[in-house]
Amino acid sequence: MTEELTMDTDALKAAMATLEGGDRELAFPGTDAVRKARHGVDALGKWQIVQIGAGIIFAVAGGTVWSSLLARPGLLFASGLLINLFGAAMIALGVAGLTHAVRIDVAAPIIESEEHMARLHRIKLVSSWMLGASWWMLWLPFMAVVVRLVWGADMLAPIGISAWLLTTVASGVIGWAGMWGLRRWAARNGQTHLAARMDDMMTGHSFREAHRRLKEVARLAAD
Amino acid sequence: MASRGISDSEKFAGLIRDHAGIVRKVAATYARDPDDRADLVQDILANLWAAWPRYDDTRPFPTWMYRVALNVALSHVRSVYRERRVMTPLTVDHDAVAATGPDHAENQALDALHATMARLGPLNRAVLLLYLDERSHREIGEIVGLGESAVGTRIDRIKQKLRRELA
Repeated sequence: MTEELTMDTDALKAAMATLEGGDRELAFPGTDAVRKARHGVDALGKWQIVQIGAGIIFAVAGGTVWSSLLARPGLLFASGLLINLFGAAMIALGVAGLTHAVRIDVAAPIIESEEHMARLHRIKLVSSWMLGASWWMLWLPFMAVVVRLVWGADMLAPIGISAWLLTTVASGVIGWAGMWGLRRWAARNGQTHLAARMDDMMTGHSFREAHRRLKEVARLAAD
Repeated sequence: MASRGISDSEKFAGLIRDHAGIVRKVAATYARDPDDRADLVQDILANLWAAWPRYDDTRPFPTWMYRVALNVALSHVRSVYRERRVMTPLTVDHDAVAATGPDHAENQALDALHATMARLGPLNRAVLLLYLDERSHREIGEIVGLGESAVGTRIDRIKQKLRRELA
């Protein structure tokens, strides 16, 4: 290996030149592949818009509940506030992601594209963590907000703070155990996309990868 | 390619044929095995055609083509790496590309080229690819997004890194 790597630059250039001609003509892609390529980058932005829209619904729903209970704050007031904040976080992360998604251009200089891709990737990971994982804890406040808005009732009134906390923690543990089981099933049944996504979420590998990409871009840009 | 004018698609096909080497070089630099390479070639061509309406023909076609090909390759290499990480333990030379040419000496030269590339991160690999393809510093700068002097500095650092690792 070392002997091979000691080739001089001219030899490496000659090796590169041998790739110029191929043994086959390039086959042009079909319509589906082109459609996929065209929609690939657009989809990044569309998901951010969907997230912003959902965030607005959560923020308005939560805000409506807590603002009507200012005079008698309790568990329902806290639930409204939590869902309001959850919605605001969705909107903020969606807007941050969208600013990068709309600037990704496949024909742009590669450092520029890499920086936007890495930043968008990091934002999406933060969104997955914050908005996905917190859901195991937020489902009860969410239900309380929905029940209040639809039927005008306070489903948390008969529940004390300790019961509320116990339910929240228990559902969190069950949720995480379920995710672990799903990851195990996905890895054993060839669901590589799903297993990779779950690994990324659960181990933080992608955070480090996105951070490494940004550092690589910064190093090149600093020359 | 049927939805646009015949002359437009013919012009595109002609330019791609004239510069097919760019696609092959980028695919060979970033894809691990023949199947990966074939997928990457298709992905690059699909993205080139999808981006073609936005191509400004007052600008050099190879520069534009290199930008698209490298951007697609960088995305491809990251997604392939992520999938493989789940199922396959990576070896030291996981990025190496097997040479498949019929000529033994040519295969050795390609092995050395791929082994050299595998020592670099994806962005430095792009700079080395462009340098070995005898692109000017100005063109490399336009493709990568660096100034001409920064390209010179970066190439020197890549050479130093390779020399240091091989010492």
